[in-house]
Parts: sequence; structure tokens; C-alpha cells
Amino acid sequence: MVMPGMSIESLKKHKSLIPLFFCLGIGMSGAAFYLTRLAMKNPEVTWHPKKNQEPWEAYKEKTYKFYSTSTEPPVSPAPKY
Amino acid sequence: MVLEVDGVKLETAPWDPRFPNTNQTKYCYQSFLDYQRCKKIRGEDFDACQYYKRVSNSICPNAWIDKWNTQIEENRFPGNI
Repeated sequence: MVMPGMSIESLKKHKSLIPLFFCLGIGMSGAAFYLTRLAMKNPEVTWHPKKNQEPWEAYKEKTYKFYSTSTEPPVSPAPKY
Repeated sequence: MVLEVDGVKLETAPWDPRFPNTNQTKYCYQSFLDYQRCKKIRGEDFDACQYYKRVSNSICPNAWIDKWNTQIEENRFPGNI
């Protein structure tokens, strides 16, 4: 037997479960989003360690942080040679 | 970041968007690598090379620099110079 509350119809009889599912939904999607962002965007993560040994080099003129106090895009002070 | 004491300008490494987090270990490693690469291509007296030398000397622990220099001398440095 399926647990009561797992389908839309039975959820109408158990209304008190709705907030639980709502909060779980936010939590799970937030965790999934953050883990994906860490894996794909983090300047210290590389998926091809042989080809791309210095993944942070792509961030010379980009911001990684969620919130930045400066409005203009950052520029790396490192000179070219 | 810049301080003047008795006419001597004291300066540390500037903030770099490639390494936005508190952990600056990779800033140290990348600057050291860049110094070695720059030295190989342009020679030690080139301005950019001197910049990388200053940055890596400010950020890296002296023990690491000593260790890496010994490794380079003995031809067993793991980085790609």
C-alpha cells in the first residue's frame, strides 16, 4: 500500500502534510542547485585535470561570489608575459 | 595594502578575482608557477616576472618556496613550467 499523502488526491485529506512537502522541496532544490554550482562553477574545480590544470584562470575578469560590493567587473592585476 | 615607512614603500600582493575566497593557497602556487614560466620565457629581469616574484614571495610560506626550488633544481617539480 502506498503511504497516504503521496498523491494529490490523498494529500487533500491530509492538508497538514503540505507545509512539510513545501519546505522539503525548497531544501532539496536549494541543496541540488548549490552542489551543481559548486561542481560546475567553482574556480577550484576542474573536470579535466589533464587538459585544464588551472581552472581559476577563467575567472580573471569574472566574479564567482553570489554578492559583490563593487559594481564594475573585477580585473586581475596579474600582468601578461 | 601599501604602507610608507620612512620613505620605504611596503606593499603586499593585491586582491585577485581568480582567488576570491579566504584560502589563498592557489594564489601562491599560481604566482610561483607564473614566475617560473615567465623566467623561462622572458628572463628574470622582465617587469612581469618581478611582479610574480614579489607576489609569490608575499603569499607563499618560505618553506614551500624552498621546497619547490629544491624540487626544480633536482628536476622533480610536479608543476608544468
